[in-house]
Amino acid sequence: MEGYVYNIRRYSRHDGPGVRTTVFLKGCPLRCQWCSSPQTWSLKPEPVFLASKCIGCGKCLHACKNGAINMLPGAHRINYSKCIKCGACAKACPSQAIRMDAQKMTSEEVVDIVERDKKYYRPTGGGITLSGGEVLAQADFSADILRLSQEAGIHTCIESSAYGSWDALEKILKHTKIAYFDLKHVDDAAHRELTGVSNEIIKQNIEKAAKSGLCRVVVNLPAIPGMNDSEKNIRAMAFFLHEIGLSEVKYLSFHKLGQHEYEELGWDYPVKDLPANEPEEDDDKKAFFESLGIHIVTK
Amino acid sequence: MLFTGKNYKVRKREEETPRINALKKRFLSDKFYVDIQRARIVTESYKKSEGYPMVIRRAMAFKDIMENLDCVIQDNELIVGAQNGSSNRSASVFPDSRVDFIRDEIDIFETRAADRFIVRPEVKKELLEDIIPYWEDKCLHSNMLKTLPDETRRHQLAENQCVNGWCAFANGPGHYVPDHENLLKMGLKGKKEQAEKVLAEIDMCDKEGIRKMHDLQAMIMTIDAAITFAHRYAAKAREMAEKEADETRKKELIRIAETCEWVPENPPRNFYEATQFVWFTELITQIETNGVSIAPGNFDRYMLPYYEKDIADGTETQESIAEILGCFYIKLAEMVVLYDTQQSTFIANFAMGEHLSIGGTDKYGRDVTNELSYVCLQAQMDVGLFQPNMSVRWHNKCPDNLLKEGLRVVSVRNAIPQIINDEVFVESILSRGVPMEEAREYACAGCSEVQLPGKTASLLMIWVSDLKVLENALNNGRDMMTGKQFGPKTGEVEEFTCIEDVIHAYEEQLKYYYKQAAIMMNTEADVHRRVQPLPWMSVTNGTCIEKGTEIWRGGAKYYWTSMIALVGMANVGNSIAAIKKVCFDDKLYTLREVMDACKVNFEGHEDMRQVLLNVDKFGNDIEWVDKITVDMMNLSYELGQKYVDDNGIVHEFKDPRGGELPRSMWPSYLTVSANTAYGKYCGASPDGRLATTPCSDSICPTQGSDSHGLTAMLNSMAQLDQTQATGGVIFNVKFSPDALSTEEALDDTVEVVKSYFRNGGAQIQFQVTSHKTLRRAQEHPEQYGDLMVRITGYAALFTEITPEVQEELISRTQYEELA
Repeated sequence: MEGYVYNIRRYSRHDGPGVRTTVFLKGCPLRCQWCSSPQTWSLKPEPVFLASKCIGCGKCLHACKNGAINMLPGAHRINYSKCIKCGACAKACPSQAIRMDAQKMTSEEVVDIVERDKKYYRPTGGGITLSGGEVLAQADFSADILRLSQEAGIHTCIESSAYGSWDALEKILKHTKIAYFDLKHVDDAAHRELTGVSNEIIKQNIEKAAKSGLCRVVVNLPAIPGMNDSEKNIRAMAFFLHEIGLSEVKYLSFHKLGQHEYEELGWDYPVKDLPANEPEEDDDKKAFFESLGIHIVTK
Repeated sequence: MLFTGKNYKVRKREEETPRINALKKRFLSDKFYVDIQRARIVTESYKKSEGYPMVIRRAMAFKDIMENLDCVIQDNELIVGAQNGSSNRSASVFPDSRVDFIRDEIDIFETRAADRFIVRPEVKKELLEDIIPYWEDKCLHSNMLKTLPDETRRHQLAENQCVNGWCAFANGPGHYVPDHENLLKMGLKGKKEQAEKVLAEIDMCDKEGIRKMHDLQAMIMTIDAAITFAHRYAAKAREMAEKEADETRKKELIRIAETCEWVPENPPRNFYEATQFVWFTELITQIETNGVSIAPGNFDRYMLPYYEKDIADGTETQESIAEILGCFYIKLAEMVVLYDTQQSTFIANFAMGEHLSIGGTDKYGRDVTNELSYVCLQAQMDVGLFQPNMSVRWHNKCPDNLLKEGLRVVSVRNAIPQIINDEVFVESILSRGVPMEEAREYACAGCSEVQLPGKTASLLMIWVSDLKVLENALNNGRDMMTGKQFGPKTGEVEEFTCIEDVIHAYEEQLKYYYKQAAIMMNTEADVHRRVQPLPWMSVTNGTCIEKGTEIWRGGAKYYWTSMIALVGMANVGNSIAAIKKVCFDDKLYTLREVMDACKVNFEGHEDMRQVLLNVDKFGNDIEWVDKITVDMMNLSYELGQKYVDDNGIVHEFKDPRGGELPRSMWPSYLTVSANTAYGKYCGASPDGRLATTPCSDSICPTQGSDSHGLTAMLNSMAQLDQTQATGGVIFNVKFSPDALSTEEALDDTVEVVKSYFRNGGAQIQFQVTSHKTLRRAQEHPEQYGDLMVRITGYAALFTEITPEVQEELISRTQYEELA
């Protein structure tokens, strides 16, 4: 089966237990304000441009048949309104200043790469983590990668927003050992404001996943300063988890590593002024979670 | 009582080690002087000893040094003995080795890029007027240049060298592990008795009789002189004790006196005496020869009996032992050598290579890890300087805890210890023809070069810059930077129709340069034998006395050596790969166009350079380019072991000093900081590297080109058969500081290292300083005096290395936790 792979990061140490290979897929229906990976929003590969790598040779201009290359100084090289995403400019670029932001791969090809680090997985409890974008945007492809990984004896995790149909999610979870679901806000209106979508389906899917017994379920709380890290929201999340019978929560730190991706797209980085934060050891919060039988986990 | 150290945890405890802190503070503020005393003594001695056999003259000079060198005992020291009296980090001059660079460079010693030394006016005057003139035509280096054949001399003196006599070309031999274990057991008294017995039994009618007599007489003279040296320290300590007002220090000084009266003459009675003994052996060897990497070796095994006894009877505690070790480590860090300016850039910050090995197996294959192994690590946690170089030796039976605690020290102190895979190293030593029980008891000297303590006799090393050799091959034997013909004519690039033609030309050039390297090595052996025999080093070797033969003349059991080949190996692999892809597969440019662009450093050809740069690179687990690079390494390795003579007969290169090993010479896989220096001699290369920028380090990928993650790089590295690396192999990995910051991260890294080693990796070392810290240290060197970094197999103080080497370190890929 074929799909669009945004990036494969080996020796990942924060996307689940042990040493992992994280496979990022293209395509995401959410538009989180703090998203650090906007290139994963679209499903199909797109050309992106990094000015610092450009040597100004103009080869892209000659390669483009649609007049979508803008050579004006200081301008982003690609005029996306004219671009048909054919990739001719990226192919012509000698310095990889223009590159395609994803590639089409078969699930076998993906798992071939994942298998290369198998010897590092077992002793550390590591394996593959399928992430995004949103794995549900390419559900069949995701399920196939996970199935093949499991057949190769590799431990599987997913990171997902849980925004999609339950049927699709169920197919994926059948081949998953640990699922990390983001819950970005408990309040639906706030969730819409922050991510562009309702959290109804998300909450339902997390609940179904928890009750399905298909895999271990951990809920990620991405604590974005001033957006969802209020005590009120965190308490509400704790109650929600308690209600649906989940007992593990993972704090995600907010970082600003998306700068470069926005630059490649020629967009402004909306959260560039927010301070980065590390998840704090907050005894009060911890005690509150613990009082509901919920543990804060790191992996 | 079992001293396994099974659950030992190393910890940071600066507030508990006031003595170490005080010694370290003094160490970091020590000034570097050029000290003249040794030079003066040697010169006077040589003038008196004209006409005697050289080995006797060397012993006489050694005796005069031991009897007259200033004795220095600093506040807080428990272990005593210094190279000279100027300051503990001052360099003694070895005019017997080389003087021309002192004459020519004396005025820039204070301002040059690396290893700066202060020369007092009276020292300068005496050196230039009295000492240097005497040695100009007598020193080792001058003999070397006179002895080299014309053609080889031309290479040695070339401005952009392909091949260069290093170490023993102008210095004494180094990379040597004295037979510490037996020296401790016998004491010098025992060694002397043995020598006298052999001397009495020499068959004086045998053709070797006279030579043996002189060799043994010289060895006995050095034994007496070394004992005298220690006794002078004892006297000094007594004298200081009498004047000392502080009762505690007074007692310490009396203990120092009693210790130096007893060792190294007699076998030590406790751990403290044994440590002082080992330091005397190290120091005295370094006073006889200015070759570097005189190593303490398998310290935690030969010192264990003394440790166990002292702990059992309550003489010492783990804490007091760690303090003694801390004092010893600082002594090792104090050692310096005065290099000429070129060498000082090759091996920035001295690289004394006093390698201390921890763990490993005994001759029966049993794990030797013990409590002292951990206390050795604790002492490194306490001191955290760049010497001793240190390795934790992993093998199938090694406890995970040893690896973990070693990494814990790295996480705080950076760079030291490195981790070495005995499974690969032992196999490597076996392949040389050494029996298993001896192979298992190897020790490292320098970066990770292998020696068998008491059995082998140091390394000779010749650089071969493979990237420069490739440049020759792509320019029909010319130096691309000057246009001068140096190598054989192996064809203009227009004649190459496929990548195999390019490789063939490279192979022919390599064959030529390896022969030049062998000629240099033979010259070195010949000159040393005549000009600088080493009676004291012979005493510290296990077999020279019983053979009645000095170490250069065949007294050691085994001789093996290495030609340092791999300067820029990844650049060679990547260049061949780029030529294959761009010129022959895709036919984007002709090889002539590429070489014309290289010649002008890609000026006006940036688009071509980008194409070349963006060809797959070694170190990313990409099979085709990894294969090419490893093939090139294998080629270099194979050719470095044998040659074809003019009659077409194949010979093995042999260690010129003798011995019976079937394979005694081979290339090694480490560059020290010469990858930066050699980069300066290389024009732009087809991998997209710009002219004069650093070459790749040891077996590592080119700086910053390994972008697919640590595990991908490890997989690439494991493609190389690292059992080839008896001459040393170095693999540097940069980690961001948080990569080893938690127990879980340490545990995972232990497993990653083990998996890499099971996959064939021989050695790995970690740098855990962030780029930000290094940049800050460049801006505010005064705040980062003790910031230690890895260069190749050795560590150095970041602020004491050249700006170029600093930049090269920063340019290496760092495996970030988040990225």
